[in-house]
Amino acid sequence: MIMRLIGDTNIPFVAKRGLFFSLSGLLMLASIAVVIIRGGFNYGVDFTGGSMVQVHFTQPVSTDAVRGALEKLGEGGAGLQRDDRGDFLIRVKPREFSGKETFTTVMRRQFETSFPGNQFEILRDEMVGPQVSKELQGKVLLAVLLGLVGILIYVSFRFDFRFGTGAVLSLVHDTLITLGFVALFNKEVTITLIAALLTVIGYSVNDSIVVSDRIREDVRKMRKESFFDVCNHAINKTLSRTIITALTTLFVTLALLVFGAASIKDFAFVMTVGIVVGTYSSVFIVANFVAEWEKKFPSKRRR
Amino acid sequence: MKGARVKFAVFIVAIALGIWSLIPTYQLYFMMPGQERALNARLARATSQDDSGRVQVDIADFQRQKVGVHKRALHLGLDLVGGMHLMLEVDKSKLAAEEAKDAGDRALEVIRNRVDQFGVFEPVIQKIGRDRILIQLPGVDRDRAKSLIGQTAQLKFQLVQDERTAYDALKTIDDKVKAGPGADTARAPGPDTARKAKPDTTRLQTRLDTASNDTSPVAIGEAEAGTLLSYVRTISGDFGVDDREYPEFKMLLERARPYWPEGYEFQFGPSEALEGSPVRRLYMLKTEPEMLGSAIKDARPAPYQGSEPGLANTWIVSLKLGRKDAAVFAQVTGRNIGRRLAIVLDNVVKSAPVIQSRIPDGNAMITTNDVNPDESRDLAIVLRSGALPAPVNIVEERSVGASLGNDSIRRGILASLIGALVVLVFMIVYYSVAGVLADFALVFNLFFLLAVLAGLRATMTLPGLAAMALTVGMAVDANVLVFERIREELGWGKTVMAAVDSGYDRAFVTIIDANATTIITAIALYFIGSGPIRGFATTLTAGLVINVITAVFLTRFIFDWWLARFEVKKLRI
Repeated sequence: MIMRLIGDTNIPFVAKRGLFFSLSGLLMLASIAVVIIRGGFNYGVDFTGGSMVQVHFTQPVSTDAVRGALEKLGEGGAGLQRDDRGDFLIRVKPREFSGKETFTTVMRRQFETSFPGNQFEILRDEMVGPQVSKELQGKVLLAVLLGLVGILIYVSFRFDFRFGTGAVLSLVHDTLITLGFVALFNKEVTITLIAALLTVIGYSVNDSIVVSDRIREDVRKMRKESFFDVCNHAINKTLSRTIITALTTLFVTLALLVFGAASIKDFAFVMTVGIVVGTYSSVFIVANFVAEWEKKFPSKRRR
Repeated sequence: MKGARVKFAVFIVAIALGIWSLIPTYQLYFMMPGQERALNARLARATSQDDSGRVQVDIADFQRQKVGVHKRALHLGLDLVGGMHLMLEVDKSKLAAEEAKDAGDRALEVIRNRVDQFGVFEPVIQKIGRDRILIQLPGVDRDRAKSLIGQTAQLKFQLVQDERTAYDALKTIDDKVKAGPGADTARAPGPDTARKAKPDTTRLQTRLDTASNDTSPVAIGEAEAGTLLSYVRTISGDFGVDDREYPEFKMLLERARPYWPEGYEFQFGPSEALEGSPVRRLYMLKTEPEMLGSAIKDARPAPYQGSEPGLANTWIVSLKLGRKDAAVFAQVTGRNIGRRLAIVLDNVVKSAPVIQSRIPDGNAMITTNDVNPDESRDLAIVLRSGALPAPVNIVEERSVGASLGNDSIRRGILASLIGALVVLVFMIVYYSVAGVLADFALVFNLFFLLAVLAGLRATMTLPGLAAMALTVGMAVDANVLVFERIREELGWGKTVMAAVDSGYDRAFVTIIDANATTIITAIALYFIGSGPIRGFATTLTAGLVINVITAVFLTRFIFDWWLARFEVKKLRI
């Protein structure tokens, strides 16, 4: 049995580039708007500092009851979330306690009085000091910048500056829109989520390169056609591969999203969104951007 | 086919290396848990003390073997096995500039000393930068660990009782234990003790091996089984116990605490290797310390500059005491020439030098008889750590309960398997025979990835597991690129051979470029640097590199072989 999802296509991607540019522009604006309306991101303890505790009660407890117990500790504003296992995730801002006390020890005592007879277990306890969280912010920024600059250099070196700029622009595009979804679904921004974001960047540039590579090859072969036609041909020829690869990777991220443990779900969510957006951008944006550049600043010599 | 044999041989060697690299991992996670259960069951079944003693020795042997295997196996991160990750920072705000200099080293020494007593399996204790210490303790009760680490260090100098006295003390304790509570003197052995009096040959054997060249004044190894003395052996002039029997011995000794001689206590040295087997020295100390750590003004390692020929080229620790303490020290040393003074940090005897002469001016010297400066440097840090405070704050803590870790592993593996399975099926459905080929490459890909990670002693974390699943998704990409290209070339009317050839050639550059950029981001990720993310970055990078190799060389090799072997004229791809 032989299957073919995409046969020989000749979709006029380049001719319709105005449409795709507007759509992407709109999506990016919408993403920024969502972030602003949401009042920024829901940063996890990695970046805000403070404590994150996951508690499991043997007998079910209502969210309100837990909130009430936390209010008695003066932590009414704590982030409180219930996951699919029925465990509570409690997040509090950094706070000084006297002596050897920490939020967890204080919380444990409060829960013992608030829920007598109900056994509970602390499954996860994370505390990040303000200094460490500040450092993590810096490190993350550095890592993202390093990644982007690394890609720009590599792509410029292997192709030319046009492709490099196109690739990095499409990455900014992917990152912005993925972050928009993160804000929209109120996902907690953790180090793990940033890792997913960087992976998306790597994946998306991978896709862009396949298209760019094909343009470079076809430019040499199709001497009679215009640069626009070459770009269009290249997008169409790689379309099948782009979609198959996106599909196989999506199979995995979707499996992680559906069956994975809670801590991996957000990761899988970002990957899933990112792959869809990244695939879109490498089909509709990168080559079109290079074509547009060529139109504005035609290169003297065909490479 | 030219060079096919060589390629095949390379492939076989690679597989053999991979299997070799994965054997310890297999042993650790698939064989050892069963063996451990069997040993524990044997311990539970043991009817007599002799029996349980033998099982205890077997368990200790097993633990040692496990440590050895663990060193060469793929590790599971704390997020998967549960445990505690702590980042400590030395608080220098209250320290003078001179004191702050090596505060990090002192704190590290104190913490290492304590964690060592804690008995954690394979702890990580690392200095990060100048003043941070990273501690990773797999499967540990967090409250106990935190209180242990938060305490301030206590350094004491205590007089050591000589071996004869210690031996007699242990014998008296044994006798009193045998007589039972309430009795002051040893009673005649009853029927119960008579049974126990049968000598335990296994213990005797191990003890006689190393006791043969000692000059101990006491006869050891003839004690009754189950008594304290039956555990004790001599270690180059000191008493000691086999490290494997240390927990058992310590428990017995603690239980007998009411019978300890008034005003004295027993303390151990750190675990050390003696002729290949780990031992701990045992000291009988005067409970009342002669001096406290605060007496020390400074302690530095220095080369020996005296005139004694035996000590030439060796290292010493040079000690300076405060003026008031110097007077006390002069008295102590003057009264106890020839005796030993133990340096005890948090109840661990770090060293017990012999007092050679009265030290009048507070400038002392501890000789190490070692041309290597390590020991003197470590001892100097110990001495300073007791004198100068090195308070630490916990700046980051991440602890995961073992049950959550187990759940994460279970679901992570399930999700990865499902994802991988869908990919495998899809490839066969979509590319037919070539899909089987790609799947074959994929399975080898995962095998080599695990082997390389085990070889790198990498740590498998939850994001790492996700990276592994992700590599599966992305691994097919290289094959997809090639196959799509072959389809296209076939569409242009090329022969099967020519299409496969140019398909691989054309796709090669693209594959390299595409993977190189992903590796760049993975390296950037590595710099963010916290444990789980590093696991992710390592796994992803290794996965991609292996990816390129298997896709470009392995499948090509099999493809060529298949085309030649079956003289394929028409390729359905």
